[in-house]
Amino acid sequence: MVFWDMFCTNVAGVAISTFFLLLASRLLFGRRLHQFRERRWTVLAVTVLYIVSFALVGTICYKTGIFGWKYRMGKILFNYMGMLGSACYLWFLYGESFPVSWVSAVFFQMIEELASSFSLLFSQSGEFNLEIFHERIIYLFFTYLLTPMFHTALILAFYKSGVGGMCWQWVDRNKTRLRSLVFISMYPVLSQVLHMLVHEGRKAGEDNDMVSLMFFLVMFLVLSFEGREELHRKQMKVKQVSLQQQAAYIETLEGLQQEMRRFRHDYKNMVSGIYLQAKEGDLESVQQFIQDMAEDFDVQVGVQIRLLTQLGNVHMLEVKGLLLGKIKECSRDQIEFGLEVLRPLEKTRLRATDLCRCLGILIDNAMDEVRGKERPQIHIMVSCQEGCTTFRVKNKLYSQVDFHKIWQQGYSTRGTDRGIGLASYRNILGRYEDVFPSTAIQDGCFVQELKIQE
Amino acid sequence: MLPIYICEDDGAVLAAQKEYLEKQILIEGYDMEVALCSRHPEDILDAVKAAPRRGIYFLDVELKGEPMDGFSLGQEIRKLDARGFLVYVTSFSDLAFETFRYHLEALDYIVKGNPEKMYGGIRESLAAITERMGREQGEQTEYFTVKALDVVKHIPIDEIMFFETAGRTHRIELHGKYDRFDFIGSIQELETQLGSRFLRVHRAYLVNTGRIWELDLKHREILMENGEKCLFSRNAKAKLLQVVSCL
Repeated sequence: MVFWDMFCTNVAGVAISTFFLLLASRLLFGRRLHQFRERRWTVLAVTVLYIVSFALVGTICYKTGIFGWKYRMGKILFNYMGMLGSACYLWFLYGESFPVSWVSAVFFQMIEELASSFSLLFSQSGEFNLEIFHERIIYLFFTYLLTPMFHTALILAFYKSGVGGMCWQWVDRNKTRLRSLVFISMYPVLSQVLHMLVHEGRKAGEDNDMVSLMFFLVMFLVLSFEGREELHRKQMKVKQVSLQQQAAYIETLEGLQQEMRRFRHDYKNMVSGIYLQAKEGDLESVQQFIQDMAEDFDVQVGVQIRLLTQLGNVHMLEVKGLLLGKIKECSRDQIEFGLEVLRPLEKTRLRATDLCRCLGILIDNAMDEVRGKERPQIHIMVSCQEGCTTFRVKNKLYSQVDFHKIWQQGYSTRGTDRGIGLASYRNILGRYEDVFPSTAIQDGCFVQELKIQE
Repeated sequence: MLPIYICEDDGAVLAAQKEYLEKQILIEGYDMEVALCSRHPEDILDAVKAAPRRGIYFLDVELKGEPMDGFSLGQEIRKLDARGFLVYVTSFSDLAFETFRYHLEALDYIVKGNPEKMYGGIRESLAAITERMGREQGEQTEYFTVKALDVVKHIPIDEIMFFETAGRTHRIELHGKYDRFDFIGSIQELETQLGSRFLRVHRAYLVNTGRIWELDLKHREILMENGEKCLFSRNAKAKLLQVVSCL
């Protein structure tokens, strides 16, 4: 085949891949060409120039036998030249920074090679002698029909799976870019090296150790990616929980402020009344007034303030959130909620989630027992002494319980379908060595205790 | 005679407490005396160290400007006087009495905002102390005492059903009429410590023979008075039958 023939064929091929380059970049970049209307003729000219020079370089390389160099050096060199060209072309088209254009060019090169190797899976030899007419026809069939089909499918698949968005996220993140940039730029070399390794790799039966190794690497990448995602999800969850807690906390504070306002209102009325009595010299009434005031304050506002003060000593966010939730539940059900946290609770040996589950079970049980009864109240004590943390949940008993039966799964004083609580409580604690649960009936109260040796 | 110690950072309240206590001791003829009133916890501790015996302590919870608060002072006093009576005096809002009772076995608390209420509280505390001391003298109950991490528990021996080794090393579970809890110990030591009233019926069980309700010889199970069951081994059968027939 003469130079001219070859060049024309190449122009057609490059035109097709340029079309796909445009298609892929349009879909994966997710935007139009940069200033297309103003410079459409320039764009057209550059496109033609790009296609022609690409085809020319390809033809020259083929004819001078560069592709036949040792270790596929020629192929690698050609790939780099092509990618550089594409990068410049993309840079011109979209006006992105050069590194981004470069990475995109490499990426599109990968897609293209992937597409052609997929299509070549269907051919017998994978190599064509373009000098023979018959082989040329097959080559053209592969190049102009099958490969574009795969190419389109691949681009659409990437587009649909949101690869473009992921790439953009990567572009936005500046920190790790240089390393990744170098790694991605190594693509032609690495792919050739891998190709050789797989090709030359030792065959053990039907297996190839390189293939296994590569599969292992892919697995590793997928897993580390997944792990990172998981970590991210968890962080998000923690943040969400802490946001919810803060919201609840603010709500409580606002409630407190409302109560203060009410109290201030009452108090103003009362003061104006007492002023008259003081004027008349009724000392006894004045004394009575001051006494009532002090008590009123304790009952109306002091209780809330005290609760919040105690809660302020709980420094484990998860536990604080749990307690806040329960306080709200209790005030809804009109259960008096007592809380004592004398010393700050920083952390325990129990994992926060396990601790919350355990405490949740104990508090729920206590609430269920007293709900709807006369003067319902529960009391929670959190005590951190040197080397030991104690959680103690106490509620009044209104009915006789068969003390030893509460541990049996399914037993409940509240009818069927209940009572799995304590059994799972025991299950959770069973995983820890230094945890000492205790249950007792003391002075008509049911007391659940959880001691943790720190 | 029981010494009374008062630690209170407000001079006026301190004086009022002292005066009222002395008056009350005279009126009721209690066998007590006010030994020391101070604003400083160290003074109290020094005095207790100098003359260690069972005492009554009226302690302010918040001691402003002092190195320790009422709770820490209570802990120190407990080390010197394990059986003393601790009464906490507090302005209502800083109350954490459950914690005080749990860790220090504090007897009571008194709110000091209102003088009438404070005097009432003092009267009740003194009465409660006298009543408790009277009860202690006539008391026959034997207690099983065990340390559970940072607190000491006293369980009446009659209320214990059995001890069980709880899966993990050195972990014992006490099954009582009103209690069930884990502690660190060894069943062999318990066996020797508790003597003949308890019988080792199984590798894992040490049973209070006085609390056995019936024996299920077929399934080798013991039914306790509270409805709980435990196993016994073949070797223990003869001994168990002998014990049960004696009851």
